[in-house]
Amino acid sequence: MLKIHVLRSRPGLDPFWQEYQLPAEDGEGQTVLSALIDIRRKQDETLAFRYGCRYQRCGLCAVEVNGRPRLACRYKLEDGQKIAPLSGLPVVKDLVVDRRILWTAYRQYGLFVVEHITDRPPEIRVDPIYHQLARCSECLACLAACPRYQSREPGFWGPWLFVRLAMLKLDPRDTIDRMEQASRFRPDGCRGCRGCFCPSGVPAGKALQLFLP
Amino acid sequence: MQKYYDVVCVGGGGAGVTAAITASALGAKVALLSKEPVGGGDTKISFGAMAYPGVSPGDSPEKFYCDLIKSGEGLADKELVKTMAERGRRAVSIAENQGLLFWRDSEGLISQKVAGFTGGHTFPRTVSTLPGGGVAYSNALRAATARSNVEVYEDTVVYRIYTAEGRVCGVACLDLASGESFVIRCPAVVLAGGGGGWLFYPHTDNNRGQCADSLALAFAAGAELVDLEQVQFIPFGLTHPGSMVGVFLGEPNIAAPGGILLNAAGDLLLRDLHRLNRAEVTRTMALALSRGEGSKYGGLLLDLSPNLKSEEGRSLWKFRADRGQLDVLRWTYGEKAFRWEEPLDVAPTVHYLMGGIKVDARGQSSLPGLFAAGQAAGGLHGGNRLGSVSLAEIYIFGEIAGQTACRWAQKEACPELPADQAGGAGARIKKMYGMNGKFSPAQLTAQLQELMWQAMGPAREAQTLSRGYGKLLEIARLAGDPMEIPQQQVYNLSVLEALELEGMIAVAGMMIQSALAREETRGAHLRLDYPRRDDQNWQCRLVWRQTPDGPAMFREEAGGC
Repeated sequence: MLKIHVLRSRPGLDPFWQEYQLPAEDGEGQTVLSALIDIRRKQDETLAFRYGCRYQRCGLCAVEVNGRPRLACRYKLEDGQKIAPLSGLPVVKDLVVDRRILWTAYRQYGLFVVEHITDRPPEIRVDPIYHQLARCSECLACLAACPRYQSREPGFWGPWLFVRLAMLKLDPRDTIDRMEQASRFRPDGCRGCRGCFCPSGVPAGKALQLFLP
Repeated sequence: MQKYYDVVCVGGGGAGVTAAITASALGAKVALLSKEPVGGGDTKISFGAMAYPGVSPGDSPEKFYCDLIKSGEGLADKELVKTMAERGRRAVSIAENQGLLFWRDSEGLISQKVAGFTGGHTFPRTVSTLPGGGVAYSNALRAATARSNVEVYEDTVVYRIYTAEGRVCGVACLDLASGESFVIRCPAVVLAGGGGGWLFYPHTDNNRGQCADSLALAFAAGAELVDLEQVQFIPFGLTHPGSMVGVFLGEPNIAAPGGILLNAAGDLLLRDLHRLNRAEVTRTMALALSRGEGSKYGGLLLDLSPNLKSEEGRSLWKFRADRGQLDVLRWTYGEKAFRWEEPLDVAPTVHYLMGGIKVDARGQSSLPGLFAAGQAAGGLHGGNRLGSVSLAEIYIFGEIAGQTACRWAQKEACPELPADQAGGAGARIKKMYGMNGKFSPAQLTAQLQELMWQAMGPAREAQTLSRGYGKLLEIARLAGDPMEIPQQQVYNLSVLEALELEGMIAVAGMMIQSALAREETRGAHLRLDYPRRDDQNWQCRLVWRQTPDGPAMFREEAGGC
């Protein structure tokens, strides 16, 4: 049997650790996500968590395992693991964090290409790193890993924000001065901890570097 | 207190978002409701390959039309195909105007140099956003939504469409985050909630939200559904470990140039499979599995090792490995499998529902005020969907549905919500919290998913279909009794599952009956007991409609090909 611990919460109560026991499957292959799904089906229907695709694309299942953000569908289940919601984000219940908050940033900072209508696709040359940045699934693991975001600096949206701004800066259709905009978030304030580990391989560090003088 | 919107769009993938921002730009007051964060669904987890007809010299709308009709195996709706063929070119521009950026050649153009060949197309028509894939689409959809005046409700489930005076007048919604239900009054609803692969979990590569919600909502409100027996399978899904069953491994073209398919005993089933389409390979696999030739995992063996012996094969391996397309092999089947040094155990997995809500070329369903677009709509693809057309479809028909819905809302007054119905729905949800019962919704859903795979898998026959229907009736009965649901209102997944289960049962029943009725093999529908296509008796599509005596199935003449 494997034993794991999940940080539960609900409105009005302090968070608490709940222990679950699961039979270890023959051979390899159980992931944190498959364990959570199993727990819901067989032991505890009240457990809440998000998931979508089961294979590392949609980003919905991001949680913290032993204090580090991971995609639950991609992370091997091990005895004694402690599973908690992503740090620093408002918790709705158990492992579910509030993802609606991102709309505030999208609208406040205009994180979109200002209307650019063409009849046919224009000639566009873009730095190949743009396509690497476009892999960001908004799993928000980087926010959970960023000490500066965790320090609740007002208006700071962590590595995710720099990834979005970098995409816009590199997009020739965008007309806003993103360099100026990014400077308001003090890219030089990055502590260089390299904690902005991205489960999808998005080069968040390079995104930040685009905005350093 | 009731909210009012001109247009409500349900579903936050490519079709729902495009419909919403189109209607909003035309002046409608629009709400976009999504069970998950906007920009999700199957759109986000796709590989990002979109059809761009006309990108290759010599290609034309007429040629695209022919390819689509041929692929549909006689069931494709000619008006929808005509619309797709004529407008299909625009999809790339619609998406890029939202902020997406496709891969370009060294001159900065989306040209034939970056267009790929996808099975069934007679010209290279596929462009993509690699390496971002579907995730790049998701980012653009979210940004475009933020840019618009659309009001967004995420973590929100629509569980009922209200009608009065023979047309749409509102929707009932559940905010999962708070557990509170609320009602929106609106004259126009666009359903774009995707397909129904989750009915077959784990034998699907679909996103968890794909529960055929939109089909169920539409039918319950009185709209027609069509082609429900046509379920597309991707031939190569993983078969183990348990947590990864059904996950996408590859298209037939992954076998290029020399990969072969064997049964568990090592007998050759297919060679040159990269030249075949999804349905052709799936059929061979389904027949072999029905003969008991599968492995202990229920799979067959895809042996790609011949490719390691040729320069072309080795460079194709590297091409795929560099783009991360083989990563999933590395951490499930292991290093040797990743390197194609040993055969891969594969089985068909549900990928797409060709069937859906019956619509005309303006996206209008048979219920006034109800529109549909994307995978939730049926008829465009008939019996078989060509790869990369779905991503074009969501933009083309999303835009059309948004335009039509907006015009409808601006022209038609919205009837009052029937007071007894609107009050009743909220009460029903409230009663669910803390309900005591023998089974939980998740347990009954698991039973449904198991029977659907047995009865409605890639190889079907009368006996298993009938048996499956019998089991479904039993599940329906159990779901009608009180179910076990936790008390706590906030983010109660069991309530979500209960609502989804209701829709899944209704749609599953119609899918099985359609499959039983169609006594031939056509498109993705394979009957072991009727292995040939029967144009004499079955050149028709199956339509479901509400009648005074209950749900009934009708044959409607189809255009043929």
